[in-house]
Amino acid sequence: MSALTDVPAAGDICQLVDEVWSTFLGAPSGPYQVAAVSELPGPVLSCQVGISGSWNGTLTLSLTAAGALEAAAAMFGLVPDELAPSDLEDAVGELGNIVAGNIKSCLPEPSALSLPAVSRDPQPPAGQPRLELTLAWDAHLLQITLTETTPALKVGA
Amino acid sequence: MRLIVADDSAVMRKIVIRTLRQTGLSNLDIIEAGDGQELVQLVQQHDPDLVLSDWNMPNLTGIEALAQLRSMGLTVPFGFVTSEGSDMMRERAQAAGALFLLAKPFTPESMEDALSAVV
Repeated sequence: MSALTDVPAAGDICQLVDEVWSTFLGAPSGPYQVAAVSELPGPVLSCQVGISGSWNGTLTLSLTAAGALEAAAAMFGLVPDELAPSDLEDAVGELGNIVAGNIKSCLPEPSALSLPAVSRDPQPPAGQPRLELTLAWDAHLLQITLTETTPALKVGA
Repeated sequence: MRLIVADDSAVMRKIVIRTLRQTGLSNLDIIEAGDGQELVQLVQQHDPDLVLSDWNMPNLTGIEALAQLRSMGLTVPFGFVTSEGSDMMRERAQAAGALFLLAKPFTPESMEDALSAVV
């Protein structure tokens, strides 16, 4: 039976998110950790990125729709009215990809990332939650969860 | 200078191009590719001076595209711009013939450092 692997600390992930937000969104003060909420308020955009290999699981980044709009506008350098729904999905997908890629670098190698999958009606991934963070930036909330799955044991191995 | 920027995310291509301009490079002729397969086709068509490519892309990944280019005898300078910046990924990139791996998130300064060997 394989033991669960250490995952990055919440503080390290907060620092990473702060770096991403300040670099690519120009946020003067990046997201900071707040008390966990079970569900983000209102419509949500979620990005799930699978990690498979020496570590297996899923990174989920969820933003409120208003937060996704503000993030996408900052990343594209456009005003929110100029954005198409696909722009929001692209921006949230890329943010999830960056967070997942950096987290993957702290996990046992080798492993590979899936392409990001963005959904407005996300289903929680299977597996054991290893990390659940709620962060705030400006007036918006975002959530990051890391779920670990254990590969099926090989029969006859 | 002709560059191909390959990333399946349109917003990331835009950020890479904006950051390139912030480094002070001028006279840039930039062509965009949305996946690895398109990247290989565009390199053959346009003979760029440099490729900046994401790693994780549909159709062909960045490293598969680089391998295909090298197998065709195309020696275009190639750098990765990717969210995966571990030592193992850097070693794989270097072994495949990439000049550098710039990890996301990046700044104009880190982009400039990465490009210093090329421009």
